[in-house]
Parts: sequence; structure tokens; C-alpha cells
Amino acid sequence: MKPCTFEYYKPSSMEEALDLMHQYGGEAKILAGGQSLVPAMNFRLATPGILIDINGLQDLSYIKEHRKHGVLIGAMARYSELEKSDVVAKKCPLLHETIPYIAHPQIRNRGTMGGSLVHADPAAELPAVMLALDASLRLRNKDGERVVAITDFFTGMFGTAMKEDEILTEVAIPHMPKRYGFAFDEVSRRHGDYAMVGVAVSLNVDRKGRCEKGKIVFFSVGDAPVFAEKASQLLDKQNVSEELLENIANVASSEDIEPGSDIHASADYRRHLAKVLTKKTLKRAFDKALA
Amino acid sequence: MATRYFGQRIRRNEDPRLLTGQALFTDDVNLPNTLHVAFYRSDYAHGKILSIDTEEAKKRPGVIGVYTAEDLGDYWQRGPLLVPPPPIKDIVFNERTQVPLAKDKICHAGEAVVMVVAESRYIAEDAVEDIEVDIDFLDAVVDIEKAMTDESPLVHDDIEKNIAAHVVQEKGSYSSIRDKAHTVISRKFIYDRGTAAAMENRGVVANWDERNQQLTVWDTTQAPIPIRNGLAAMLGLSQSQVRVIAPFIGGGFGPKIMMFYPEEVLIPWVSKQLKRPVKWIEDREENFFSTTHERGQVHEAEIAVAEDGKILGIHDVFVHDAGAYAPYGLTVPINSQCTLLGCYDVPNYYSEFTAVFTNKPIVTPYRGAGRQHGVFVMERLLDLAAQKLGMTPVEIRRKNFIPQDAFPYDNEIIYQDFSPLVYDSGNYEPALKRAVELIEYDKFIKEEQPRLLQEGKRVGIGIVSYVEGTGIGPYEGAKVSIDPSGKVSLVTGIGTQGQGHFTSFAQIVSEVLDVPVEDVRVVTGDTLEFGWGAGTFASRGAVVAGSACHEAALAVKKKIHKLASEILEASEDDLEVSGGNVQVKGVPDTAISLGELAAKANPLRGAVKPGTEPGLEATSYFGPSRGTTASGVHAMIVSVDPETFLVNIERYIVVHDCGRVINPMILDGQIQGGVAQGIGNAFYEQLFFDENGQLLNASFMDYLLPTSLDVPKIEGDHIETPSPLNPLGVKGAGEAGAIPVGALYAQAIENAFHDCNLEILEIPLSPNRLYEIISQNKTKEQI
Amino acid sequence: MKLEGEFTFKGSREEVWDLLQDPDVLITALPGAKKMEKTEEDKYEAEMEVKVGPVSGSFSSKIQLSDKVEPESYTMVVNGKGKSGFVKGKAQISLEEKTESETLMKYAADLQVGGKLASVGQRLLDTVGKSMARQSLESMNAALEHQIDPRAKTEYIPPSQVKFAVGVAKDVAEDSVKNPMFWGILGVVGVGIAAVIWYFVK
Repeated sequence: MKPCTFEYYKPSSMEEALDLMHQYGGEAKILAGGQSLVPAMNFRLATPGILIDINGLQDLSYIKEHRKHGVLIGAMARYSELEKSDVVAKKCPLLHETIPYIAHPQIRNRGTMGGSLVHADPAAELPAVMLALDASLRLRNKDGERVVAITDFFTGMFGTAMKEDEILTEVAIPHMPKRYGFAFDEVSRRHGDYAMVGVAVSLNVDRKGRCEKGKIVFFSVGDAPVFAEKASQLLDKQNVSEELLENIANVASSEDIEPGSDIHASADYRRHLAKVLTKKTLKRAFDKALA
Repeated sequence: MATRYFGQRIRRNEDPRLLTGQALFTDDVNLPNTLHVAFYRSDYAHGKILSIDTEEAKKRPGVIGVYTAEDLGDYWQRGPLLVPPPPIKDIVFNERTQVPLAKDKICHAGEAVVMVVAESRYIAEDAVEDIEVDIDFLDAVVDIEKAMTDESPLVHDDIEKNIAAHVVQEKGSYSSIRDKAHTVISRKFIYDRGTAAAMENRGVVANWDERNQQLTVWDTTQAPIPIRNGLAAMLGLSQSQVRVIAPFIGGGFGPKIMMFYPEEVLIPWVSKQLKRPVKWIEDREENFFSTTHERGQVHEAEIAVAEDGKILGIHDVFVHDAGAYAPYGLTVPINSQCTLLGCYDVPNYYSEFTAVFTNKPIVTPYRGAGRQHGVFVMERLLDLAAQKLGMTPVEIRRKNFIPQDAFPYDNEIIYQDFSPLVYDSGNYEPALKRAVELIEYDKFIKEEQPRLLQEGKRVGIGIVSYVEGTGIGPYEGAKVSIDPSGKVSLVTGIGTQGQGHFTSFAQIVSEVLDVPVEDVRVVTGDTLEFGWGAGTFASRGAVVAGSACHEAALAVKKKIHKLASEILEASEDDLEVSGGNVQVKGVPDTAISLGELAAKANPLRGAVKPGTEPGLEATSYFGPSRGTTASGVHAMIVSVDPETFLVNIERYIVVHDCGRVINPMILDGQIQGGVAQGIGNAFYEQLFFDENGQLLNASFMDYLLPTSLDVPKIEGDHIETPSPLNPLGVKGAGEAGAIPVGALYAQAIENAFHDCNLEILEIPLSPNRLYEIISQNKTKEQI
Repeated sequence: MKLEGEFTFKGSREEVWDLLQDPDVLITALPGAKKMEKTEEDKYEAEMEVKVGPVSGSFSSKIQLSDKVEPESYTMVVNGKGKSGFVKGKAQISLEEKTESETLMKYAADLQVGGKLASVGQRLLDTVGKSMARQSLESMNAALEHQIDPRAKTEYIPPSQVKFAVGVAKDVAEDSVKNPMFWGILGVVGVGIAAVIWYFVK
């Protein structure tokens, strides 16, 4: 399991990095945390001729709060930094709750927010959580910059809307509304394994406890994170109740997702888990919102 | 008599080196000028090789040699049959062993076809990608029951119905009692494949020294001596020209006792061809394909019991997955056949098995070596019978245990060492009783479980028992000598893969010579230091090599007495060896240190009398006539999440009897490790093959090993029923932890759903599988 | 792995049939197709470079057609081999007339994936297969719409790696297109081969 030969560049500034991307674009791969890329290279399933190591770009690694835009997270922020961040704990509690589920501490010390989103593994936690939070992504190339809404970002199996010469630089998560509730859960064989099914829920209620806006997002049930549209719509203006949760869980698991089968979980079992998790997370989210 | 070293929890001699990275493993061997090897391995599981094009590979800079089966010339030959068929009446045995490089046919995915030697492993792997092998795809033989049908493709064209072997063993007459039984339970049981997944993969470093005409091989083998002998024969060298060293090894577990793996025979050969050191270290992906597996069997078994639960007889017909080749003979299925009888008095037994070839990697023993299948079938049959009769699992086992006074107990069938399966000693009831106490079995059933069920929790309890044949022959040897410094040197032929031989064997010698354990320097697994013996397998190290160490130490002690009696002019009976000295009893002024005595035993002047040897050194061998039977009881409490079907072990108890215990701390480690592998085998680890013989989980992402979060701390106790078959009274314990865990999971999970008519007849299990089984068995009550 | 599905093309059966014969269209639907060659009657060889995320692999494929019933149905057998594994497939394709301007294509493919793709990528096989089948068919449908009404303002953007492929296809087209089956098959071959799985270890 030795990789094929490759050329290696380590730019020390964003300008340099963008130049390299402009020059090599499609042939190159960005090396951030390397926790997905390097094993793929060692298996010789990924054979990029060129690696551009952006670990030297210090100004891409930040977590800060912006009055208007919400929480801004630099693409090179490591999972472990997000885990320890007070800003994330206070202002993005859904993200805070999710991080311990991601792989293992050693991997979290290296892996990055940006890497997870760009890699777009259908079983990854962060893409689903960002989708639940309506995040937006800042993409840069040599010619300029653009902002893409998360709902337009994931295009399919490991696919994103990024152009060949673009680098993801920042993720913006809007401020939480009032009376906010959230929950995250996943079922995996062992702690740290790929989830068989996972759910992220983000909602808020009005003064009477009725849901104003709710989003249920699944992962590991398709080729990208799946926004459970039909089920989420059923939350609209509803108070929490056992029947509501049961109904939404049924709709989510039978109509909103098309899970596949693999050796660990059949599609049937995945649907069952999706139903179980939807109920649990919705209940927790409502509890928090109503508190 | 109180012992000073034997039986003590002494810290291991080898740990400081291991923990500080100072121990030598095979990959640590770095000789100048070393070449590196990678293999082209087949993607297809079954196919005819049409052509092999290595031209591009040869041209790549840094590539020194590219070899196919053709290029090996006369050296290409099938591996030896390591274990011949046992002397059982009417046995059918179709021998077929592995080849170093595939010649005309591919028989399993991952089979090596071309060997590339290059300046680095990176270049070697690049060159492997340059190779084009044209293989005509053939349908694969994967399902072991279908393998025997007329329509099945043939793994080996000349072996009909893929039958590797057919064996029937009988005791009494099952057919004559069947109709007299009160209850007959018959079921089909399935046990599926897994791999040992040792922390260290295999590796071979070979160095042919042309000037000295010597070959040195470092090999992650559990059997350096047979490898030395085999390589010498194959390469046309004398045994004294070949030195095989099994250095520290990161876990053996059985697959490393498989001998004459393709890489093992090719690396030394190519080093001799190229006259340079050559290294091959297996990577994890290769390990899934080219290191042996174990565990696939399907049983159709039946138990006939009387109304009071007494076993009248057992009838078992099973199919065993041998893999593409069967170099290890029938060790695994014979173990299944024999271990099924367990701790129980089974007056009538009919056991028939067919071993079949399949287009999957080779099957050879892996910790338990076929015993788990036998235990699974027997324990499940007992549990099902108990349910039918309204007895508890504890009661039915107690009813059928072989009583303490019935030993030696002859089971009248042949065991893996070709001797009759005679249990030398055993005392099963106390272990069961102790386990029931420790886990508070009755309290759980009467109070805890109903309370938890009220809360909607599914928690179950299980208890199983088994025997394990250990310490089989042929023999092992040891050499003890006392150094003029007073330190003791102990050398034995078997190797060590982490089980603590450097300490436990030292303790045995320390006990005899009364020298501190850390002053006994142990060497294992180096054929230059000791060239006679078999290897580390079948839980025999402590019993056989340990006994040899004991005998050698006694022989040295005799020499001490003899020489000291001459020097001190006292009778041998008046002398005592203690505290590193020998002296006349009660007269400390006469004390001579053992080191000084050793120096005197090697005179520079004077003569060595005829019939004596210089020094205080002795070599002894120990060869038991047959194995000695260890036994144990495992119990556990598990909780099953009724929504996700994830399982958590709340408590795990092991009460084990391996005779006298040399080092309780090391024994605990063996048990803990064995149970961890048993847990993996029962609930996490399963090799999935598709209908084309493709392995679908050849990485630790998808082949799930239990982690520290999944394995509980084992609580337990020991019973000591000494073995009458060796001077130490010890029995083996290496595999015990792993054997009954599958049966335990099945019983405990069924118990968690005791109101649901659940039957678990297969291993491994998983949350997905439990979801399927339990959904199919739903009662009116919501689960 | 079984891949089954239906897809409604916005065209008559004959138009769809012709579409499936058009090398330019089909190459665009197959990401990474670089070379195609007819070796014998009903036998073809193709080279494809498939990319999913950062993982890529080249495959040499042999394709064989049989059981042709124009313009209703045919069978296609594919054998693709590459460094990261192999894909073998057998597909049954049928075209049914839904309305005058709509054709229902039904496909039932049995795919076997082996080598590293299977042993390290099994987690994704099912999903990628379905996903790529859908994408390929949507792409072909867009091409069909564009071809039927070239005046349509809808801009048809073929998937990437097309320029080279189209160039190659033109050279090859003259020979290969004699057999109407080939391109229909190639479409499904693309589906089949495109079910190559790419995997990442976390």
C-alpha cells in the first residue's frame, strides 16, 4: 500500500496557492488534513499527480463571530479546534454536539471542516449538519470569489459545485433564531465508525411552541446528505406530540430517503434506524426549543 | 509446598524492551543493500491464466527481477502437506496444497502470480501495475453446501465435487437410541469465516551470504525449526547452513503456524539467486488475502435426551470450508468433531464431515482451531433441549457433566494429535458453580431481569462451558546452563508471539534453581541456538516447552549436586541449592555461588572424566503421549437496545481450569485477549465473500475488530485441576478465551428476548442480523 | 449487484433508437470515454477514464451484444478491467412506446464488481451504481431533447472530458455506428461501467 509518485507543493500564501490551482487545477489535489485523501492514495485509488499542501496557510484557520453573518469558520479549522471552541459551543450548539461522533480524536486533530465539505462523503457528518444549518460557503480562485449556498453545493456522490481551480476558504453559519432547538444522532457499529444512518435536526418554535422552521437532514442514506423535505414540511406550525413525531418519522424513513444496502446494514434496517433516530432527535430538539 | 516464583504474578522480563521500542521485529531488520518485494495478486477468484506480460515491469528503473512460475524452474513445487490425514477408518482425503506462484490456474482472489524485486517497495508496487495478466474468468465456488453439487464448478479440475476430505467418527450407536429418547432437537447451525488480524502482518527477510554459504532468515513464523528444515531441503542446503529466527512477533494466533507460505519459500530463494538481502513485509490489504482464515462450517445436528435432561446421543453432519488448498490437513474439522463432546458424558455419538475446496483463501487453525464450532453446536443443542424440557441452562449442563471420578475419560474417537481423545483429568462442576455465584445468576433471573423488562430494557444472561485439548506432542526441548556470572541461560526452540515465554519459562527454571526470574535470560525461536522442536501452536507452549525447561533445570540441578558434593566432600543428599548458591544444609560457610561452581565445572587444567560433560549445562526434551484437557465456564450479561439492536456487554465472567498456573498475570492476559477475539468472532468480525469469491471487506474500515470500548474487563476465577501428564501439572490456556463466546452470545441474547421464541443458530451476529431475526419473531407484545 | 430501472426519454421509439446509435451523443453520456473500437461483429473494445471525486481509474472494456430484436430489446455483456479492479455486467434493455413522443426504456443489469473496488469500496457500490445510472440517463435525455429540437434554446452542456472523447468518437463512429445496437449498448455499458466505485477511508 504505497502511493504512486506525485509532485508536492506547499504554498506559504493564499496567492501562491491560488496560482498553483490556476496552473494545475484538475490534475492537483489539495492536501488539508489528509485523513481521507492519504489513505485513498495509499490504496492507489486516488492517484493525483500533484499535491498542494495548504497546511501552511495560517489565515484559513479561524472561528469567529460576526454580528450579521453569524459564525465564520475558516476552512482549515480542525475538528478538534471546533470541539474545543467556546464560540461553537455557544453559537453553534448543533455543530458542537456533532463533533465527538466524528471518527476518533487522532483523526479529529488533523481533519478539517473545509476538507469534510469538499470531500462530500455521503456518510460524513459535517455536510449534513451544514445543510441543516443553512450554511453558505465562500469559494475563491485566481479570478475572484463567490458565495454558494449549501443547498446548491452538494451535487452527487463525492461531487460538489466547486470549479477545478477553486479553494473553499470559509463557511458561514447564520445566527440561531430565538427559541431554538437542535439534536444530532447516528448509529454506527463501533464508536467512530461510519454511521449506518445519521440525522441532524435544527428547528425553532414560536411563543406558543409551534414550529416556525424545521429542517431534518439525513446522511449515509444516499449519495449526498438528504434534506427530508416531506417530513420537515410536516413540522410547520405544529406543536410537538407523540403522534406528530411518529408520523414525521414514518414519512421521513419511507418517503424522503432511498438508502442503499451494504454488508453492515440493509436498506430495510437503515429505514428502521432512520425512523428511530428521527423520533429521538425531534423530541430532543423540541425539548430544547421549548425550554 | 509454597512456591517462590512459580505461580507468582511476576512482571514480564520482556516488557521493558517491548514498551520502549527496543524489541526486534522482522521489519526492524535493515541490512545494507536490501531489495524489496511486491506481488502481483489475482483479482479474480477463479480463472485460467492465458498469458503474463512482464516486459514493461522489467524495464522500469529500479526493478531488479520479475518472476513468474515459469521463472522458478525446478524450484516451483507444491507446498508440503503439513498434517497428514488421521488414521480413521474409511477416511477419504484428496490432498491439494498451495503453490508458490500460480501457474495455469487461479484458485482464490489474492493468489500470487508474479513476484517483483526492486530497490524499494514503492518501485516494486509501481512495477506490479505494469504487469498485464490475461485471465479467463471462471465461475467461482463459494457456498460450501453448493460446492458439493454436480452443477458446481471445480476448484481443482481433478477433484470431484470439490471434496477435500470425508470423515466419519462414531462412539456407541446413535441410531439405536434415537427412538428411545424423550426429546430430539435438530437444527442447522452456521458458523462463518473470520481472520486473525494480528497487529503485526507477516514478513520475511532473507540474507544469503555467498562467502559463508549461509542463509539467515527472519520470519514471523510460529515454527522456525520446521521452516529451517524445509528451506534447507528445498534449497539443497544442509540444515546447518540455514538459520531461521523468529524474533518478537506481534501476535501469531495460528495463521503464522501455517508453514511454507508462498512468500516464505520465495524470498529465501530469490535472495540466494541475487546474492543480496531481500525483504518482504505484508501490508494489511495483502494480509486479508494471503494469510490464512478460519471458521466456515455448516452443521446439521441433532441431540437426543431423556426426560430428565440426560444426553442419550448426538448426531452431527457438517460441511467444512477448506479454502482453495488444504496444507494443514484436517486439524480444524477434527477439532470441531472432538470438541463438540465438551464436558459432557455423551454415550452415543455420530459425527460426519465433508471438507470442501472453495475459491477462497486457505483455512488453517486460528485461536480455537475448530473448537468453537463444536462448542457452538453442543451448547446450543443443550440450550434448546433445556427449553423444551423446562430446565435451566445451568441444570442441563450440571446433569451431563463427566463426574470428577471418571477420569481418565475415553471419548473413543481420534483427536488432532492422532491419539484417542482421552480426557486426562477434569473437574467441571466447581467451575460452573463458581461462575453461577460470581454472576449472581439466580438473582438476575428472578429479580433484575423482570424489573428491567418492566422498564422496557432487554437484558439477558448466558452461561456456557467447554473443554479444550491442549499440550499435545510431538515434543519440545530446552537447554539450561549456568553462566560463570551466576546468571542462567535458557534456550528453547519454540517462538514467542507475545504470550510471555521470556517470563513464564524463566519462572519454571527459577523455581528449580532458586535464582531470581530476572536473572534467567531466555532465548526462543532461533534455530542456531536450539534446533529441535515443532512450534508454538495448539496451546502447547507452557505444557510441552515449559516441561522441557523444567526437566533441563532439574538435570542441571543434578549436576550441581554432583559437582558440589565432590568439591565439598559431602553427600549429595546433604546439599541444598538456594539463594543462588549451593551449600551443605545448615552450614552457610560452605556456600559456593552457582557462578563459581559453573567456572569450576569448566576446567582449564586436569581432565574431564569419561561420561561427564564440562559446565553446568543440560538439554532435555519432553514429549507427552497425548494432550491434557483444560476446561472453563464463561458467563455474561448483555443488554440489547430494542430499537437499534446494538449490544452491550454489562458483565463478563470466566472461570478457567488450566491446571497449575505459572503466572496468573500472564494467564489473565491470555484470557482477556482470547475473549476479545471471541467477542470479535461472535459479533463484529465476518469476512463477506460475494458469489464471485470477491472479499468485500478487506480493510479494517469494514472488517470490524472490537475496540477497547467494546470489550469489557473480564472478571473471574481459576480452578486448578493439575494434569497428570507432565511434571508441572500445567495445561494450556492460549485459546480458551476465544472458544465459547459465540455460544454465549446466542444464549444471552435469546435470554434477553425470552418471551419471544427467538432462536439464534448462527455466528457471527450483528445489529442488522438481530433486527432481521427478531422482527421475524415478534410476538403480540411490542419489542 | 442488481441495477434496475426505467427512464422515460422524450422522443419516439425510433428517435430514441437513433439516439442510441449516435456516437456523439453517447460519448457525452459516458464520462471519460476515450476510445472505442469495433473488433468483430457485435464485439467492441473501449477505454474509459472514470473519475468520482478525487478517485480515478482507467478501464479497458470488452463489450458483446446479443439477442437483438429491433427496435425493442437486446442484451449486452460487458467486461471491464483496470488496475483497481474489474466490472462485469450483463444488461437487458427494452424500449416501449409510451406515447408518440415518449419512450420508456427499461434496463435490468446484473453487475459484478471485484478487486480493490469491491474489497475497499463495498460501502458505496449500491449507491454509486444507482446514482451514476440516473446521471447517465438524464444526460442522454438532455442530449435527445437537444437533438430533436436543435433550435431549442436549452443549452446542452455535455459532462466534462467530452472534447477529446467526441473527437475520438467521430473517428470511430463510421465503423461502429453500422451496428445500431452498439450505441444503445454503450449507453448501458456506460451505466454498467460507471458503476465503478470510489472509496475513501475516513
